[in-house]
Amino acid sequence: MPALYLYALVDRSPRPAAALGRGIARRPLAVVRAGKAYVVVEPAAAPEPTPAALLAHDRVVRRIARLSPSILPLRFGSTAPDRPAVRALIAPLASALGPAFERVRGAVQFTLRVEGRRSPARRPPVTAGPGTRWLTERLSRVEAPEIDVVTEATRPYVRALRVERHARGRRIASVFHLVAREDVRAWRRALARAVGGLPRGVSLTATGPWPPWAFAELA
Amino acid sequence: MSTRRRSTRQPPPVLEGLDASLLDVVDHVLNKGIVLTGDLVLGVAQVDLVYLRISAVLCAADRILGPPDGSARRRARLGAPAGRATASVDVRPQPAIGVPADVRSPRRRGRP
Repeated sequence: MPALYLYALVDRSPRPAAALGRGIARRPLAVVRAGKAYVVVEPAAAPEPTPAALLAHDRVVRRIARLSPSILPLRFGSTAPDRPAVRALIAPLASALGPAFERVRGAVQFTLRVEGRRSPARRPPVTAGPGTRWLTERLSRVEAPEIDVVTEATRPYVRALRVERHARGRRIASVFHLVAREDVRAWRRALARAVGGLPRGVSLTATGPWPPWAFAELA
Repeated sequence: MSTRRRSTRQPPPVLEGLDASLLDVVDHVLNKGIVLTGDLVLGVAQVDLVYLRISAVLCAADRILGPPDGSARRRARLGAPAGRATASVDVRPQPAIGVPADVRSPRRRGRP
Protein backbone atom coordinates (compact mmCIF):
# COMPACT_ATOMS: atom_id res chain seq x y z
CA MET A 1 0.00 0.00 0.00
CA PRO A 2 1.46 3.37 -0.96
CA ALA A 3 2.84 5.17 2.03
CA LEU A 4 3.86 8.48 0.53
CA TYR A 5 1.70 10.90 -1.40
CA LEU A 6 3.71 13.24 -3.63
CA TYR A 7 2.91 16.90 -4.27
CA ALA A 8 5.76 18.63 -6.05
CA LEU A 9 9.41 18.72 -7.00
CA VAL A 10 11.43 21.70 -5.81
CA ASP A 11 15.08 22.51 -6.36
CA ARG A 12 15.84 23.37 -2.75
CA SER A 13 14.39 22.31 0.53
CA PRO A 14 11.80 24.84 1.71
CA ARG A 15 12.82 26.62 4.93
CA PRO A 16 11.54 26.40 7.51
CA ALA A 17 10.22 22.91 6.87
CA ALA A 18 7.43 23.49 9.38
CA ALA A 19 6.04 26.20 7.09
CA LEU A 20 5.07 23.47 4.64
CA GLY A 21 2.21 22.66 6.97
CA ARG A 22 -0.03 19.65 6.51
CA GLY A 23 -1.31 17.79 3.51
CA ILE A 24 -4.67 16.47 2.40
CA ALA A 25 -4.65 13.76 5.09
CA ARG A 26 -3.78 16.41 7.70
CA ARG A 27 -0.33 14.92 8.25
CA PRO A 28 2.80 17.09 8.29
CA LEU A 29 4.52 17.42 4.92
CA ALA A 30 8.09 16.20 4.61
CA VAL A 31 10.87 16.61 2.08
CA VAL A 32 12.68 13.71 0.40
CA ARG A 33 15.99 14.50 -1.23
CA ALA A 34 16.34 12.81 -4.61
CA GLY A 35 19.60 13.74 -6.28
CA LYS A 36 19.58 17.49 -6.87
CA ALA A 37 15.84 17.74 -6.44
CA TYR A 38 13.58 17.58 -3.43
CA VAL A 39 10.17 15.95 -3.38
CA VAL A 40 7.52 17.27 -1.03
CA VAL A 41 5.54 14.32 0.32
CA GLU A 42 2.94 13.43 2.90
CA PRO A 43 2.94 10.06 4.66
CA ALA A 44 -0.46 9.04 3.35
CA ALA A 45 -2.15 7.07 0.61
CA ALA A 46 -3.65 8.78 -2.43
CA PRO A 47 -7.03 10.30 -1.62
CA GLU A 48 -10.16 9.67 -3.62
CA PRO A 49 -10.44 12.22 -6.44
CA THR A 50 -13.26 14.24 -4.92
CA PRO A 51 -13.65 17.97 -5.56
CA ALA A 52 -12.56 18.64 -1.98
CA ALA A 53 -9.41 16.56 -2.43
CA LEU A 54 -8.57 18.25 -5.74
CA LEU A 55 -8.94 21.66 -4.16
CA ALA A 56 -6.83 20.56 -1.23
CA HIS A 57 -4.09 19.24 -3.53
CA ASP A 58 -4.04 22.57 -5.34
CA ARG A 59 -3.94 24.44 -2.04
CA VAL A 60 -0.96 22.43 -0.82
CA VAL A 61 0.94 22.92 -4.08
CA ARG A 62 0.32 26.67 -3.90
CA ARG A 63 1.63 26.71 -0.35
CA ILE A 64 4.79 24.95 -1.49
CA ALA A 65 5.10 27.41 -4.39
CA ARG A 66 5.08 30.32 -1.98
CA LEU A 67 8.12 28.82 -0.25
CA SER A 68 9.98 27.73 -3.38
CA PRO A 69 11.00 29.95 -6.29
CA SER A 70 11.21 26.94 -8.57
CA ILE A 71 8.51 24.27 -8.39
CA LEU A 72 7.32 21.49 -10.69
CA PRO A 73 3.88 20.37 -9.50
CA LEU A 74 3.02 16.69 -9.64
CA ARG A 75 -0.29 15.54 -10.95
CA PHE A 76 -2.97 14.48 -8.50
CA GLY A 77 -2.60 10.86 -7.40
CA SER A 78 1.18 10.40 -7.48
CA THR A 79 2.32 7.95 -4.84
CA ALA A 80 5.36 5.92 -3.82
CA PRO A 81 5.76 3.12 -1.29
CA ASP A 82 8.68 4.69 0.55
CA ARG A 83 11.59 7.12 0.32
CA PRO A 84 13.89 4.83 -1.71
CA ALA A 85 11.08 4.40 -4.21
CA VAL A 86 10.76 8.18 -4.52
CA ARG A 87 14.48 8.42 -5.27
CA ALA A 88 14.19 5.62 -7.80
CA LEU A 89 11.37 7.48 -9.57
CA ILE A 90 13.34 10.69 -9.79
CA ALA A 91 16.74 9.23 -10.70
CA PRO A 92 16.02 8.71 -14.43
CA LEU A 93 14.86 12.32 -14.68
CA ALA A 94 17.97 13.91 -13.21
CA SER A 95 19.33 15.40 -16.44
CA ALA A 96 15.99 16.92 -17.41
CA LEU A 97 15.21 18.47 -14.06
CA GLY A 98 17.79 21.29 -14.22
CA PRO A 99 16.37 22.96 -17.36
CA ALA A 100 12.85 22.36 -16.12
CA PHE A 101 13.55 24.13 -12.83
CA GLU A 102 15.24 27.01 -14.66
CA ARG A 103 12.26 27.52 -16.96
CA VAL A 104 9.80 28.02 -14.11
CA ARG A 105 12.13 29.72 -11.63
CA GLY A 106 10.48 32.74 -10.07
CA ALA A 107 7.52 32.51 -12.41
CA VAL A 108 3.80 31.88 -12.11
CA GLN A 109 1.17 30.74 -14.55
CA PHE A 110 -1.91 32.55 -15.79
CA THR A 111 -4.64 30.58 -17.48
CA LEU A 112 -6.73 32.19 -20.22
CA ARG A 113 -9.90 30.46 -21.38
CA VAL A 114 -11.04 31.67 -24.79
CA GLU A 115 -14.64 31.21 -25.86
CA GLY A 116 -16.88 32.34 -28.67
CA ARG A 117 -16.49 32.73 -32.40
CA ARG A 118 -13.60 30.87 -33.99
CA SER A 119 -11.27 32.43 -36.50
CA PRO A 120 -10.96 30.63 -39.83
CA ALA A 121 -8.40 27.84 -39.67
CA ARG A 122 -4.99 28.54 -41.13
CA ARG A 123 -4.81 27.14 -44.66
CA PRO A 124 -1.65 26.07 -46.47
CA PRO A 125 -0.98 27.42 -49.98
CA VAL A 126 -2.82 25.54 -52.68
CA THR A 127 0.47 24.35 -54.12
CA ALA A 128 1.80 23.14 -50.77
CA GLY A 129 3.10 19.63 -50.50
CA PRO A 130 2.08 17.08 -47.89
CA GLY A 131 4.83 18.18 -45.50
CA THR A 132 3.74 21.80 -45.54
CA ARG A 133 0.11 20.80 -45.16
CA TRP A 134 0.94 18.61 -42.17
CA LEU A 135 3.01 21.34 -40.53
CA THR A 136 0.32 23.95 -41.15
CA GLU A 137 -2.33 21.75 -39.63
CA ARG A 138 -0.04 20.99 -36.70
CA LEU A 139 0.68 24.69 -36.17
CA SER A 140 -2.99 25.62 -36.23
CA ARG A 141 -3.55 23.36 -33.22
CA VAL A 142 -1.23 25.38 -31.01
CA GLU A 143 -2.36 28.85 -32.05
CA ALA A 144 -5.12 31.10 -30.80
CA PRO A 145 -5.48 33.81 -33.46
CA GLU A 146 -8.70 34.95 -31.78
CA ILE A 147 -6.65 36.58 -29.03
CA ASP A 148 -3.71 37.82 -31.09
CA VAL A 149 -4.24 41.28 -29.65
CA VAL A 150 -3.73 39.92 -26.12
CA THR A 151 -0.78 37.77 -27.12
CA GLU A 152 1.01 40.73 -28.67
CA ALA A 153 0.27 43.11 -25.80
CA THR A 154 1.49 40.72 -23.12
CA ARG A 155 4.43 39.26 -25.06
CA PRO A 156 7.10 41.39 -23.30
CA TYR A 157 6.09 39.87 -19.96
CA VAL A 158 5.52 36.27 -21.03
CA ARG A 159 8.44 33.93 -20.54
CA ALA A 160 6.71 30.97 -22.16
CA LEU A 161 3.34 30.35 -23.76
CA ARG A 162 1.27 27.22 -24.30
CA VAL A 163 -1.91 26.90 -26.33
CA GLU A 164 -4.35 24.01 -26.26
CA ARG A 165 -6.92 24.36 -28.98
CA HIS A 166 -10.24 22.65 -28.43
CA ALA A 167 -11.79 21.10 -31.50
CA ARG A 168 -15.40 21.21 -30.38
CA GLY A 169 -17.73 23.22 -28.22
CA ARG A 170 -17.94 26.85 -27.34
CA ARG A 171 -14.51 26.90 -25.77
CA ILE A 172 -11.97 27.72 -28.44
CA ALA A 173 -8.70 27.36 -26.60
CA SER A 174 -6.92 27.33 -23.27
CA VAL A 175 -3.84 29.52 -23.24
CA PHE A 176 -1.21 29.42 -20.53
CA HIS A 177 1.24 32.26 -19.87
CA LEU A 178 4.35 31.80 -17.77
CA VAL A 179 5.12 35.17 -16.21
CA ALA A 180 8.00 36.18 -13.95
CA ARG A 181 6.66 37.21 -10.55
CA GLU A 182 8.11 40.69 -10.84
CA ASP A 183 6.29 41.15 -14.17
CA VAL A 184 2.85 40.13 -12.93
CA ARG A 185 1.65 43.69 -12.38
CA ALA A 186 2.80 44.81 -15.83
CA TRP A 187 1.29 41.67 -17.40
CA ARG A 188 -2.06 42.41 -15.75
CA ARG A 189 -2.03 46.00 -16.97
CA ALA A 190 -1.20 44.89 -20.51
CA LEU A 191 -3.97 42.29 -20.41
CA ALA A 192 -6.51 44.82 -19.14
CA ARG A 193 -5.63 47.22 -21.95
CA ALA A 194 -5.72 44.53 -24.62
CA VAL A 195 -9.01 42.78 -23.85
CA GLY A 196 -10.95 45.75 -25.21
CA GLY A 197 -9.51 44.97 -28.61
CA LEU A 198 -10.72 41.39 -28.79
CA PRO A 199 -12.76 40.56 -31.89
CA ARG A 200 -16.53 40.72 -31.54
CA GLY A 201 -17.96 37.45 -30.26
CA VAL A 202 -14.76 36.36 -28.52
CA SER A 203 -14.57 36.35 -24.73
CA LEU A 204 -11.68 35.64 -22.45
CA THR A 205 -11.49 34.57 -18.82
CA ALA A 206 -8.18 34.85 -17.02
CA THR A 207 -7.34 33.17 -13.73
CA GLY A 208 -4.18 33.14 -11.71
CA PRO A 209 -1.53 33.40 -10.66
CA TRP A 210 -1.12 29.64 -10.40
CA PRO A 211 1.89 27.45 -9.82
CA PRO A 212 3.33 26.55 -13.23
CA TRP A 213 1.11 23.51 -13.80
CA ALA A 214 1.16 23.70 -17.58
CA PHE A 215 4.90 24.22 -17.72
CA ALA A 216 5.91 21.27 -15.57
CA GLU A 217 7.58 19.46 -18.40
CA LEU A 218 10.84 17.61 -18.42
CA ALA A 219 11.56 17.25 -22.12
CA MET B 1 15.91 51.67 15.54
CA SER B 2 16.43 49.34 12.64
CA THR B 3 14.47 49.26 9.44
CA ARG B 4 13.40 45.83 8.28
CA ARG B 5 13.65 45.31 4.56
CA ARG B 6 12.22 42.48 2.55
CA SER B 7 14.96 40.25 1.25
CA THR B 8 15.42 40.64 -2.49
CA ARG B 9 16.10 36.92 -2.67
CA GLN B 10 12.54 36.04 -1.76
CA PRO B 11 9.98 36.17 -4.56
CA PRO B 12 7.10 38.57 -4.00
CA PRO B 13 4.00 36.80 -2.67
CA VAL B 14 2.03 37.01 -5.87
CA LEU B 15 0.41 33.63 -5.27
CA GLU B 16 -1.81 35.23 -2.66
CA GLY B 17 -5.34 36.25 -3.50
CA LEU B 18 -5.84 33.59 -6.07
CA ASP B 19 -8.84 34.05 -8.30
CA ALA B 20 -9.48 30.38 -8.76
CA SER B 21 -12.28 28.46 -10.33
CA LEU B 22 -13.03 24.81 -9.74
CA LEU B 23 -12.77 24.17 -13.48
CA ASP B 24 -9.22 25.48 -13.54
CA VAL B 25 -8.28 23.58 -10.42
CA VAL B 26 -9.59 20.34 -11.91
CA ASP B 27 -7.88 20.96 -15.23
CA HIS B 28 -4.55 21.78 -13.62
CA VAL B 29 -4.54 19.13 -10.93
CA LEU B 30 -5.84 16.25 -13.07
CA ASN B 31 -4.61 17.20 -16.52
CA LYS B 32 -1.35 19.05 -15.98
CA GLY B 33 1.71 18.60 -13.89
CA ILE B 34 4.29 15.88 -13.92
CA VAL B 35 3.16 12.28 -13.80
CA LEU B 36 5.52 10.03 -11.93
CA THR B 37 3.47 6.95 -11.36
CA GLY B 38 -0.11 5.95 -11.11
CA ASP B 39 -2.89 3.69 -12.21
CA LEU B 40 -5.79 4.88 -14.27
CA VAL B 41 -8.88 2.90 -15.20
CA LEU B 42 -11.05 4.27 -17.96
CA GLY B 43 -14.57 3.00 -18.11
CA VAL B 44 -18.13 3.64 -19.11
CA ALA B 45 -21.14 3.05 -16.87
CA GLN B 46 -18.96 1.56 -14.14
CA VAL B 47 -17.52 -1.03 -16.53
CA ASP B 48 -13.74 -0.91 -16.68
CA LEU B 49 -12.64 -0.79 -20.30
CA VAL B 50 -9.00 0.25 -20.29
CA TYR B 51 -6.43 -0.07 -17.56
CA LEU B 52 -3.53 2.31 -17.94
CA ARG B 53 -0.44 2.10 -15.83
CA ILE B 54 1.73 5.17 -15.99
CA SER B 55 5.20 4.63 -14.68
CA ALA B 56 7.54 7.03 -16.41
CA VAL B 57 7.78 10.69 -17.22
CA LEU B 58 9.78 11.56 -20.27
CA CYS B 59 8.01 14.06 -22.48
CA ALA B 60 4.66 15.38 -23.62
CA ALA B 61 2.20 12.67 -24.56
CA ASP B 62 1.53 14.14 -27.99
CA ARG B 63 5.21 13.95 -28.85
CA ILE B 64 5.21 10.23 -28.28
CA LEU B 65 1.79 9.14 -29.46
CA GLY B 66 1.04 11.79 -32.03
CA PRO B 67 -2.31 13.49 -32.55
CA PRO B 68 -5.53 11.55 -31.93
CA ASP B 69 -6.09 11.37 -35.68
CA GLY B 70 -2.47 10.53 -36.38
CA SER B 71 -1.65 7.82 -38.83
CA ALA B 72 -1.41 4.24 -37.72
CA ARG B 73 1.91 4.08 -39.56
CA ARG B 74 3.40 6.74 -37.25
CA ARG B 75 2.13 4.96 -34.17
CA ALA B 76 3.53 1.72 -35.44
CA ARG B 77 6.91 3.35 -36.04
CA LEU B 78 6.88 4.57 -32.44
CA GLY B 79 6.31 1.07 -31.17
CA ALA B 80 2.64 1.03 -30.22
CA PRO B 81 1.53 -2.57 -30.61
CA ALA B 82 -1.17 -3.12 -33.20
CA GLY B 83 -4.58 -3.89 -31.82
CA ARG B 84 -4.01 -2.33 -28.42
CA ALA B 85 -6.23 0.29 -26.98
CA THR B 86 -4.02 3.33 -27.42
CA ALA B 87 -6.58 5.03 -29.62
CA SER B 88 -9.21 4.86 -26.91
CA VAL B 89 -7.04 6.47 -24.27
CA ASP B 90 -7.35 10.22 -24.05
CA VAL B 91 -4.00 11.49 -25.25
CA ARG B 92 -5.01 14.86 -26.59
CA PRO B 93 -2.04 17.15 -27.18
CA GLN B 94 -1.24 18.73 -23.86
CA PRO B 95 1.84 19.97 -22.09
CA ALA B 96 1.44 17.52 -19.28
CA ILE B 97 3.68 14.56 -19.32
CA GLY B 98 3.05 10.90 -19.21
CA VAL B 99 4.22 7.86 -21.00
CA PRO B 100 1.85 4.96 -20.73
CA ALA B 101 4.04 1.98 -20.02
CA ASP B 102 1.30 -0.58 -20.01
CA VAL B 103 -2.08 -0.27 -21.64
CA ARG B 104 -4.45 -3.14 -21.63
CA SER B 105 -8.11 -3.84 -21.73
CA PRO B 106 -9.14 -6.15 -18.89
CA ARG B 107 -12.39 -7.10 -20.58
CA ARG B 108 -10.63 -8.15 -23.76
CA ARG B 109 -7.87 -10.21 -22.26
CA GLY B 110 -8.01 -13.82 -23.23
CA ARG B 111 -10.29 -13.26 -26.17
CA PRO B 112 -9.20 -14.03 -29.72
